[in-house]
Amino acid sequence: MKKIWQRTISFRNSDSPLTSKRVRIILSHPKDAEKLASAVRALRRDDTDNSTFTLSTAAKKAIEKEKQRISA
Amino acid sequence: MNIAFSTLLLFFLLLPGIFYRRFYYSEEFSKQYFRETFFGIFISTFIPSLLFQAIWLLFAKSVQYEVDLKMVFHLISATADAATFQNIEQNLIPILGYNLSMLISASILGRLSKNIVRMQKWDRKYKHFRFQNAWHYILKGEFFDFPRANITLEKDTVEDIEFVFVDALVELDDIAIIYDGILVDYELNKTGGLEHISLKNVQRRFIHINSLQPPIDKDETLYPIQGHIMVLKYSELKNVNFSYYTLERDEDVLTPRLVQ
Repeated sequence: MKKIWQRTISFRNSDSPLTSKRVRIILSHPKDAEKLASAVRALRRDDTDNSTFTLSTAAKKAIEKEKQRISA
Repeated sequence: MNIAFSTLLLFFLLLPGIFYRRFYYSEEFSKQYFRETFFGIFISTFIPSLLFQAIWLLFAKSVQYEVDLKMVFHLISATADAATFQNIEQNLIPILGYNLSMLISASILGRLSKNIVRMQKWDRKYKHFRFQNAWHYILKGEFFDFPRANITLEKDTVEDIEFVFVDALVELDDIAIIYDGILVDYELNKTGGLEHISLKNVQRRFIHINSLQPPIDKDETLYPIQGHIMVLKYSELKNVNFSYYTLERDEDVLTPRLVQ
């Protein structure tokens, strides 16, 4: 399922978005957005213990729903 | 009949080119429509107009519909007589249909041309096709595909960039503030420059410019800013650093990684 994590442009919409669909969903969930930003900052400090994160159930569901919508 | 009417008619004849151009420079590249020189606009409007007029003229001929060029010339040169206007009145519907179909086709073709250039990535590969929106190519990371780019992505592609992390430096007297966060939006001004950038999950860090001593505890200088988005005016920024990230997934765990 490439489209969920790739910023693709289509013939109808030639303007590539700033974020992938997956990140757009993550950013729509405040707690997940915070985890993502914290993971990036940890990565920049070489703090590998905190540079990973798991998504909330709501974000996971939203991503799954988006995947199904794309593949439909 | 006066010069104003002739000018209006000439403008009308140039409309297909104007429509083509308007729809070619649309959406993220719409600012470019207004930013070219008069000569540039004239050429890029005149040539498509000429082509559309010629194609429609030939098409009309092929379907046994005669366009009286003499009449058009009389109208432009302000020498039209009563018979000319009578002719126009009698053929008003076909004339309107002829011109309307030309304008609609010019608009569709303008949009199609732009979409083809973007889809085929010709604007990234060839400078001739490049739109004059440098910020678009920077903020979306598309500059990685420029032939002159000194950084090439070996492992990833531009499409793999999932988000952009920004560090923006703002100076206030002897204090500098670095804002960092995820880029979610931007706006260009009339000249094509960056008007503002919008960040999410922003954190602020103070730096004393005149202080030679580094902060004892770096976390003490970090302040998360609550809110949905933070808008930073580009005119107030000293420097902006862009980092392009993708996310790696290992089962349920996600790890951000700089594109390579």
